[in-house]
Amino acid sequence: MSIVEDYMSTAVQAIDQSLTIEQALKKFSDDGVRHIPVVNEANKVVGIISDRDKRNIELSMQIFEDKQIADQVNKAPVSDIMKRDVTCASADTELAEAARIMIDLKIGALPVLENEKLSGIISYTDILQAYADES
Amino acid sequence: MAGRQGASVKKKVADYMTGEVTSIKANESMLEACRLLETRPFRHLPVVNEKGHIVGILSDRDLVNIDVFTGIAANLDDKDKKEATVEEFMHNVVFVAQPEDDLAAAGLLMKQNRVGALPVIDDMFSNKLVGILSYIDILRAYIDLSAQKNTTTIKPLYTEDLLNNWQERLEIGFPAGYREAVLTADEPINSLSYCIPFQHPVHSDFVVFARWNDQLFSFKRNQVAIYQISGNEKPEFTFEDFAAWQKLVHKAADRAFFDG
Repeated sequence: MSIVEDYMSTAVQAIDQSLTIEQALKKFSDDGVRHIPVVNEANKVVGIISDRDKRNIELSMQIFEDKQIADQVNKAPVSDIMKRDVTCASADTELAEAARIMIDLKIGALPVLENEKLSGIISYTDILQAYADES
Repeated sequence: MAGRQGASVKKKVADYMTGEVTSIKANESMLEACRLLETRPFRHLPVVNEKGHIVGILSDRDLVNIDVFTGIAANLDDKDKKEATVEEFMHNVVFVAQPEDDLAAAGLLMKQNRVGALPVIDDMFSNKLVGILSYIDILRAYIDLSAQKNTTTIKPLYTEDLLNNWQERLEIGFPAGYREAVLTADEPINSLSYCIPFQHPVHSDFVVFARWNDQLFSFKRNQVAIYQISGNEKPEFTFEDFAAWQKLVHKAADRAFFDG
């Protein structure tokens, strides 16, 4: 059976936890990524943000319609909005187990850790590919 | 029996899609659509016409420009807000699946086009909505596939041919129920260590078909019966009927596991 390592992407973009919300949300605009892990200076995963967080922030901006508040939000550190309890996989986690976690926790991607450090990300699209390869 | 040999049968969209899908009509209010997407567990809402034919789709990602409190786009004026309909906000449906489509191919279609779900329609001409397939459904299919593969590797590879071959070579008559039990077991039946039948090393008239601890369970040549052999001791007759024997030893095995 396949393991996470067989399908994860290793060219994973991460956000430094010291970035502002504005800087962090810009990362979503480029290449259609939907989940970005947030790391500390030791490359340890401390959180994750998704494009749905981006949506929520943009919504709240619209509601406030106040430039000052909007500025404050934009300048706040990304750690203020990231999801902190991040479930991670390791490279040798079975892919089926990763799929089960995604369903149970209703999440689309899991950061992959090696010695507690970020080494990749496995997302549901990788499992769509695995299903096509193995069925 | 073909499906049990490890060669898995290709799954269809119909095997994993959600058939009873919540949809909304194109002329209904956007407020109602937002309410459904915000309160229900799904993230995609197919849009249909009066005949139930698919005309569009809304996803929770489409709510980006929509005021969460009124459910209506913030940039519309008050008059338009009242009248805003689903039609104005929905996406055209570009990618669909049909129940008979290959499930894996549908998954690749989602991956390549970055969509999380596909409306399922009955045929390309009528476009009648009959279900929805989301990526979650394919994660489930992947889990099932893995479980099936794991089982296949543990399970002794009993086949009709193999059993016929052994029956001929060992001149044994299998008791009623034995063939069925080893050929159709849904779960791995190795809890009692069933094994491919082999001739007992000491008692050459006996053919071992299962073992548990130091017990060997055997058929006897030219007879339809089950014998228990402990170590090199004399075989003891236990049952004529495989199903009855199976019931008894499984019970004993279960008890031993619990007691242990």
